[in-house]
Parts: sequence; structure tokens; C-alpha cells
Amino acid sequence: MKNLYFPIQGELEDVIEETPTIKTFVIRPEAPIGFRAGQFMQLTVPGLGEAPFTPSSSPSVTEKMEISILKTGTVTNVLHEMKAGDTVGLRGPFGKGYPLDSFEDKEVLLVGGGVGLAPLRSLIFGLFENIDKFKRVSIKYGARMPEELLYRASYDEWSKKPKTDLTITIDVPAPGWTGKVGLVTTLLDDVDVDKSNSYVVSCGPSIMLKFVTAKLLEIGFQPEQIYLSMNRKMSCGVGKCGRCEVGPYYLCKDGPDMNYAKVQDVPNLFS
Amino acid sequence: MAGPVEESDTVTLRLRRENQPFKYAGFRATQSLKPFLFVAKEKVAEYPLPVGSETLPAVEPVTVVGAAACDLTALKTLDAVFMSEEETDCFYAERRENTLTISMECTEPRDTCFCTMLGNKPYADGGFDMNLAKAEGGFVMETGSEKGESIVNEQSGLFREATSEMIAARDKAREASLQKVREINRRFELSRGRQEILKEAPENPDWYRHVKTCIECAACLFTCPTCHCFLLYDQRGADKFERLKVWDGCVYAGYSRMAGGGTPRALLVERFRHRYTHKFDQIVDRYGIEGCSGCGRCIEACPGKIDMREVFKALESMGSALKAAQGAGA
Repeated sequence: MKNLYFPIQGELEDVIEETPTIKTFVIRPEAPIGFRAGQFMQLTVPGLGEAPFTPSSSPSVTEKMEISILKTGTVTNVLHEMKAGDTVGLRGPFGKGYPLDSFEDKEVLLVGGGVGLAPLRSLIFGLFENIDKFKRVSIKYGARMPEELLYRASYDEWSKKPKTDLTITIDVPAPGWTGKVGLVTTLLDDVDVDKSNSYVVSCGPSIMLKFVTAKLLEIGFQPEQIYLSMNRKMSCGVGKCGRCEVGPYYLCKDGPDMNYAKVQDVPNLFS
Repeated sequence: MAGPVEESDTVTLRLRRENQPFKYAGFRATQSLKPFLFVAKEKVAEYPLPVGSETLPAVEPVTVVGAAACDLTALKTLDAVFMSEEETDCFYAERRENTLTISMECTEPRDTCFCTMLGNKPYADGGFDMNLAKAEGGFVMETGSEKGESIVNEQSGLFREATSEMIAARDKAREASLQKVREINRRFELSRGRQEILKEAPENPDWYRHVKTCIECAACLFTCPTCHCFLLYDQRGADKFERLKVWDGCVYAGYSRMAGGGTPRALLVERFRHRYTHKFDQIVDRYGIEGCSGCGRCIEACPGKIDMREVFKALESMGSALKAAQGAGA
């Protein structure tokens, strides 16, 4: 018999400061954890509680896991004070993960905002590791300010990967910034992926998902082509505690990435 | 052993204190079977502990006497949630395994009872270990499981063959009770399915009328035999950290509020509606059964006098009116 609610221990091997509000936690779990890109973990701050995060590291690495986390609530505020050597708890992985098989022979457009690039990075690694199976990887990413751009040191390397392109924008002009300015949706105005043979995966704040989805539909994508990393409060991770429901689905079991065609009629989808 | 005991004017299912008499009230008790299987607050983990040495439930066998047919119906929802997904909640499963259920038939249904509207009856067809129907000079007892059967075999001195008169009297009482529940609910009968009514009218203005007297007390949720939402809650224990599984309720604003403040149900009317859509739409899609047993506890417990049957009736007629208006406008 298995106890679904028991967290295994993980040691924080390193804490990397990515931006003023985002840190990457490098965790070595007591036992290896295999996951598919897009699946998520429940991370425990001992004595305080859990919060759900999708790993940002490669799904092919099981003995070590990286999770990039925005400081934004009770659990993450304390997490951001933790140091290498501290202990956390882990349950998971939960959820279905991205449907990588159906992306084969297709162009994959990734649209991320802010810390939303964190879950997408594990997908990016997954795509890079089998790049010959996919036609193209096109990454569109935006953050509020230059210093909020996540994984800045990797952009050059990613852009140089075969079949890959990366475009970055920041929301408002900033001193010294010579790149694109505007919300991430503006990067979709002249998107050149093959709409008849592609999938889109988007991750970011709910309000961004709402406008990205509207934009994608406006420029001719079909609801079936769009996968959204939805946001809902979670607790159990196994479809029992009730709170992460989106229409007839539980994000923790059926998501957290949902095909837009399945959920488009759900009230308050993006709140 | 637990059973129906009298407590401040009501009869509730409780673990019996020494020699406390059981009371056969003739209808379902104030408290359902749920708290015996899905405990209101339970320690489900201690940590840190090495992998493989996690806490597993230590459960004492319990016999519960006096569960009503609606209580047994409600277990179908709880079983589906806690036991039939790929992941079984070992705490629920262990308690389920270690609970002997002796049900009792309802002979005096209350005006809040509506089991018949859910296709059920005030007496159980199955789902019990043993079932009791009050009859002249004792009870007519039926077994419904191997566990129940073996008790009868072990304690054969307590039982004798029921006479045909007793069985006829039981059947008569059953029929009378069934007709009574049907009569009580005549005015709430719907001409369409509940799921259909909910699906066609997410924006039905009638929600706003019914939610007016809701004070977010969650009495409907906590007395409900099928409501199963919970929260995992961590705290410091004596020498380890502890994780508790505690009942939660979708009527609370904090239930679905995320870090950063976002929530899909900021308005009370949205949370109120959610309780209906979860039970009669989403659970139906997910498990193929309605998440309600028709026990009527939510009606009885509500200080705002909200009656689920009236809500559906009103939604249905408002829904039809809206449809007709749309048709006329087209």
C-alpha cells in the first residue's frame, strides 16, 4: 500500500538567483524521480506546506531536478530564504505532461511570459534532445523588464540550435534595452510558423494566456492546436481534493496543460 | 461500535459511549457515514522519513449500526473518488475495509428527504453488510456481504428464521415509505435531467436569487455525505513535521484562491453554483453517477433555508423561459 500524501526528502544542492524575483532550486531527491516534460511536482517547505511546480530541467535527468520559482506567496516566500544544504520535500510527478508524441513532424511554437518560461524549459530540453523528430522549435518570450528575463545566459545557445528560433520582448521601454518592446502577443503579429502543421504551447500568467489565446485564434490557429499551461489552486495532486477542476477535468490529473478545444467553454477559464 | 444516538433533540451516528442506548428514529441520522471513512481531520504523513518508511494508516475495526439507504448510496461517490482512480487513498480504503455497516430502513421519511428523485429508495438494495427493517417483535435482518453472513453464522443464537408475516409487514412498510417520499417530492419533480438543466444555463439569473440567503457557513458541505474536498495542511509535530488531511469546502473564497490572489470563483454566486455543477455535472462526466444521495441534510442544515430541490425547479423553469424568449427573439 502506498501513501499518496507522503513527501520524499530532497536536498537543495544549489540555489541560483535568476532574476530579482525568480530563483532556480537545484534539488537532489533521495530517490531518482522520472518525469515527462510538463508534469509537475508538489514541493514541500517542511512544516509550512506544499505548492505545485513544473520542473525546469531536462526530463531525461532523474537524479537531479531544477525548479525555477517566482516569489509570490506563503510557500515561495519562505522557499526564497532557503539555502544550499537545506531539505525540502517532494511528491510527484503528477499530471499528463506535454503530448510530445503528437508534436512529431510538426512545428512547435512556444509562447512564454515571465516565470512561464520555467516549465517550458523542460519542454525545450525535451525537444532539443530529439530535434530530428520535430520540424521546428520557435520560442516567443516576454518579461516585464530586462532584469526579469529568465535564463538570459541560455538565449544565445538556444538560438544556435538547429531548426530553432528565439524572439524576446519586454513590456515597456527600459534604459539600455535595444531589443523589442511590447507584450508577448506582439511577437505573434508576424509569426511565420506553418499554421497548418503546428502546435502551440503557452505558459504564463492567466491574463497573458487569455490574450495569447485570443491572438492565436485571430491569426488563424485552431483551438485544437493550442495547449495552455493552466493555473489553478492545487493540493492533493491525484484528483481527489477537488479544487483544481476546470470543467469536467482536474488539472492535476488531466493537465496541467490543457488542449484549448477541450476547455474553451468553461466559465472563468482565465481567472 | 457506532450507531444512532440521541443528542440535543436529534439522532446522530456516533461512536457509542458506554451503555449509551441506540435509538431507531425511522429516518437517516443527522450525521452520515462519511466521517467514519473520510475523517474530518486526520494525520496522513510524518516527515522527514526515509523512502519506504512512511506512515500507513492504523485503523481499528468499527461497526456502524443505523446507516440509511442514502448513506450507502453516498459511498458510491466516495468510493469512486478515493478508490477507483489509479491512485487509492490508503486512509479511506483501510477504513472502508475495516467498517462493518448495518443499515436500517427509513419508515418515517422527513419532508427534506428526496432519495427517490435520485432514483433511490428509502431502503437499501445492497451496499450493506447487514440490513435491518423494524418488524413486530424485532427486526427483519438481511445479509449483504460475506462479512455479514459470517456474523450470522457465528452468532446464530441471536437470529431465527423470519416469518412470512414479518416479511410481508416489512414489504408493506417499504412501499408506504417509498410512496411517502414520492409524495413529499411531487412538487419538485423535473421534466429534464439535472445535468442538462445545469449545462444549458451557467448564466441563469436564478442563481443570484437563491444565493441571497447563503452565509457561506458550509453547513451544507460538512453535513453532505458525498462532499469530499479536502486540504493537505502541514504543521510542526513533537519531533517530526506532520501533514494533516482536513475537510475543506468550495463555498470558501480561499478554497480555490492561488498565490498572487487569482481565483476562478471570486464571487459567492460562482462558488454556490460550483457546488451544484460539481455534483450534478462534473462528477457525472467523471464517474458516471450523480454526486448526491438525496439525503436532504443540506436542506435541513441551511440557516438560509436554501432547498436544492427548489433551486433545480426554479432553474428549470427560468431556463425554459429564457429558451422560449430566445426563440421568440430569433
